Amino acid sequence: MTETVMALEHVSKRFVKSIDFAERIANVVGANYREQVVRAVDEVSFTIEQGEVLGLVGESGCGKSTLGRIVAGVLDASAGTVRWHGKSFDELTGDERRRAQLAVQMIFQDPFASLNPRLTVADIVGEAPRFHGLVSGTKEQKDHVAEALRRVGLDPTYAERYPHQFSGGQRQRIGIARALAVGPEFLVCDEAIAALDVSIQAQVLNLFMKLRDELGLTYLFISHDLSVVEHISDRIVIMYLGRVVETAPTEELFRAPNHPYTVALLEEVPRLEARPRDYQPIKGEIPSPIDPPTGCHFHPRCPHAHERCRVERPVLKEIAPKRWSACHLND
Amino acid sequence: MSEATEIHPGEVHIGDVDEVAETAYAPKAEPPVTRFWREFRQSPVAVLGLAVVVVITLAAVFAPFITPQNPYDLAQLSILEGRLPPMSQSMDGMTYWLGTDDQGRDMLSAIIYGLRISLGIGAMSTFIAVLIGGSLGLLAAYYGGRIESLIMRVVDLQLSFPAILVALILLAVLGRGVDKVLIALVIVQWAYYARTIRGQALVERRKEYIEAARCLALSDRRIVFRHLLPNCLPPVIVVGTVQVANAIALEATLSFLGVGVPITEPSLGLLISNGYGYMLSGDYWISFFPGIALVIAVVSLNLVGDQLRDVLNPRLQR
Amino acid sequence: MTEPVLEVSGLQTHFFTRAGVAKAVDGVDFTLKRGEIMGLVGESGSGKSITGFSLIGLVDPPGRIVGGSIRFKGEELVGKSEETWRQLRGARIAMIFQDPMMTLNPVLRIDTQMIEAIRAHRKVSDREARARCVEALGKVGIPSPHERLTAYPHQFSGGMRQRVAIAIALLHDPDLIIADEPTTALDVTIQAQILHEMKKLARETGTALIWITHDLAVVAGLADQVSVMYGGRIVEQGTTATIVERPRHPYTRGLIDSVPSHNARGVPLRQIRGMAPSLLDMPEGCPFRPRCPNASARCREEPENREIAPGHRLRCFHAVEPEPAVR
Ligand SMILES: Nc1ncnc2c1ncn2[C@@H]1O[C@H](COP(=O)(O)OP(=O)(O)OP(=O)(O)O)[C@@H](O)[C@H]1O
Ligand SMILES: Nc1ncnc2c1ncn2[C@@H]1O[C@H](COP(=O)(O)OP(=O)(O)OP(=O)(O)O)[C@@H](O)[C@H]1O
Ligand code: SF4
Ligand SMILES: [Mg+2]
Ligand SMILES: [Mg+2]
Repeated sequence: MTETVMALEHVSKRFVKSIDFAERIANVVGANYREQVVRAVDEVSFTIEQGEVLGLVGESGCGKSTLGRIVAGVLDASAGTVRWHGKSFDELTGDERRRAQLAVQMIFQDPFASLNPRLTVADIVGEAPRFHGLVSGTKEQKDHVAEALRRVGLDPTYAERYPHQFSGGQRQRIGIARALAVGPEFLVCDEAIAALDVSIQAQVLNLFMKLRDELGLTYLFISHDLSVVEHISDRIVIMYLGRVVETAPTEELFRAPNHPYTVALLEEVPRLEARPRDYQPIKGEIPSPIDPPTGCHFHPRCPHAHERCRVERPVLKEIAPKRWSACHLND
Repeated sequence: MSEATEIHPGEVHIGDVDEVAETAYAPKAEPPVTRFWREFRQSPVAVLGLAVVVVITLAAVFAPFITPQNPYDLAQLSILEGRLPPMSQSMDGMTYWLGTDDQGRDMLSAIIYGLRISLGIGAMSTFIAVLIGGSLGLLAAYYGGRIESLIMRVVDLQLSFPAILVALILLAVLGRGVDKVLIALVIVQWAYYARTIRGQALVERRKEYIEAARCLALSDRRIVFRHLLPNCLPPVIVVGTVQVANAIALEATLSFLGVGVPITEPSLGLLISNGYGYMLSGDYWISFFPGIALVIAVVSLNLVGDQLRDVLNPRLQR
Repeated sequence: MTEPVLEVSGLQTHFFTRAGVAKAVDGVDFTLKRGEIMGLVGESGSGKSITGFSLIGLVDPPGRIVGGSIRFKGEELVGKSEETWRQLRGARIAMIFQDPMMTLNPVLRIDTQMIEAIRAHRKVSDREARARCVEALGKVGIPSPHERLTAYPHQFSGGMRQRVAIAIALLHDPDLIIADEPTTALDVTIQAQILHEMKKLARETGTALIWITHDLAVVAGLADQVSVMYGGRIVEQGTTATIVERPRHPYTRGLIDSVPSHNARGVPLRQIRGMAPSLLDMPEGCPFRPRCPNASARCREEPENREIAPGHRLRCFHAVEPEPAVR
């Protein structure tokens, strides 16, 4: 039986754009500005097991990054609990909290914005271990940095250079080394290869898999690219407009997708196959998360939508062992 | 297609790059300072401006050692040599390159001493304004909410009045004096920096490296001072350089109007003002040369500032 | 059969920068027939966009076309005056960008912009122009085009804006459309919609289409032929089926092999080692040499562009075996 490292229970995140002074004045004269609430993440629950790679897929604005940040502990949830090894993040204090914080690290999308341009690689990678007393002394810090760099396939002699002297793929490796330097158990990768060249993506993806084997890491792998997620993940969570619509082990999800949105998504992913294809796209736009559709968020675009979908929110139900889906068609 | 695929015997198989280390790409190690200078150098005019700034700064700092005369030591002055035109000889054989004023002061010495005061006030007021404005701007950006609204409303208010008006009113209340001018200049300037640094900090704060620092559980203080602040400085340096010039010009205006520095510590503005009365009688040099010095100082600082903006602007970099 | 719409041969566009000459495009040849869709694929910096800009005469200094020829419907365009280009641009050749706001003006209504685009090349009445706009918007799948005509760009979603940009490109029924990564910033479901419309359009109107992208998978389902760019050159070119199933160039092969769905789940992906060279510091000979598993000393010479099978062109001395790429 594997251990659950991270559990999310009804986690929600709302962003409120309050009305400002000018708008308030405009309201007095009759304009109608209201507070806008974005439900970026809406009652999401799932668990991640030790050593697992959980893929998180969804279209732009559906709340993947927000959820990733909550999991990584850089953003607080508006409601719900995040449990790390069974303990709620809020319960943890002092040293324990700090250790939990360090145990979950994040790898970012933008290889340019994710490294402080004014620090050398040695400082970028070595700062946190030194700050938290994981290493003491300059010599030890240097060795520690060198080891982290070697692990991600970079020459440690580059340590005194600045980020702008590296290519995108190398920068991404530096970002990974920075995370590894504090000895994490869990990595949240937010579109970590999306900004890289095609031929470099495979290199970095391989690195993630190598690290998983060597260090026994657990991953939350966020991506909009289904074929990447298919390759690396054991299990996949599909999100649509802030909600989880389907969760399933990777093979089963691809073999027999359940939710109509998943079906559409799998259908429309460009595949590298030399057959002219007739795209049969699902109609309509992705609705705005400020004003999401009632009932099932997907109903305006769903080919199977019926009256119930318009009024009632479908809940995630276990439709087969380890498979969950939120669609009224399953009833 | 065997012709195409055969590997020629005896040929070295090059391109065997180590599986891990990506040695194929060996970026040039160029320290930021070198790169900065290489890019700065690309505008000859700016380099000239920088040279002038360096020269007048040195002249101002070492004024007592390089001026032919201490213009404020009354013992060295002779009223008999008042209002001599440029290139005149003094009685003890010294040449007044730029002439003398009504008191018989060597204009060249007076200008160098004037520069000392003008530059000093300009640089000092800018420095203090950067400290105050910068800290407030950083606070506003980092904490947001009420603190931010409060600070930024004051900034807006401050910036909605013309600087010269605010300074005039302040000095009318405070009276004359170098310290008073400094206070006035700081008060009219800090808001620029608060706004500049806040704008930059808001951009930088959203970048992923700040998030990464938070993820690494670094302290707030460390994130603000080691990660956020250094990345907010470039625009402040640019604004600051140009503002030194503006402060010098503003101080000159105030002194010219007679509310600035006292007569005992004449800046360039006061020198211009002193000579103004003699302009019509043909003794142009008493006002003219300090005026030229002022223009040179202001223009060269602006040239440097413009080039700094180009070099430090990340959008213009590849 | 028909005369080709576009024949490009030996195209070279170089940038003369302070740091040296960047040969952004350095040997591009292809032919495009009516209604044909060509995918132009390559990594970042390989020269795809500059190829596109060269074809509509929009290369900005310090860049300029230094060699080769562009024959558009039999007419040589290299060296033509700016006036000639202006006549062609927007009317006979149109371009669509990754960011639709390159085409759209945020402060003008859609109808204003579209009518302006029509009048730039044709004298028509307001009525006719409007009818043309509605027709074009309808073609790209914008629902109720009449009402949408009076909207501003910011009232549209990203996908809708891109459709409007495409509609503007279609206004004069151009012979050639160059689309530079128009769906890269869009979501999969929206991308699928746009690919669908574009394919239909090319078939119906006979417009030739160059689809620039870094993602082979996007053009695999769309294009008739694919050109693979590397270091400013087209290194391999053929029908989509040839390129995707029987690639002969080590680079194309490496790219296809590294696609996750062509690898068993969970095992390391076959990867291309190293990284793309800097344009200012190109390896001599074949640009792929330092990363190539087949490279020999001979690759220090520049490989010729040769036709190894009808319609299949290659720049490589040591082509890989044409076994089908592994699934
Ligand atoms: N700090 C914030 N303030 C206000 N709204 C926010 C904030 N961060 C995110 N949002 C909103 O929350 C929603 C979800 O955003 P999020 O970045 O999590 O989406 P995503 O799935 O990562 O999208 P993408 O694929 O584009 O990265 C979006 O509508 C976004 O506009
Ligand atoms: N104005 C310029 N000055 C110098 N070099 C330039 C200029 N514009 C483009 N280049 C160079 O030309 C090369 C090709 O650029 P191009 O935009 O065509 O690449 P691309 O294949 O479209 O890449 P991407 O996928 O990133 O859009 C780049 O390496 C770039 O450095
Ligand atoms: S020419 Fe040589 S280096 Fe270039 S791709 Fe062919 S085998 Fe590789
Ligand atoms: Mg995101
Ligand atoms: Mg491009």
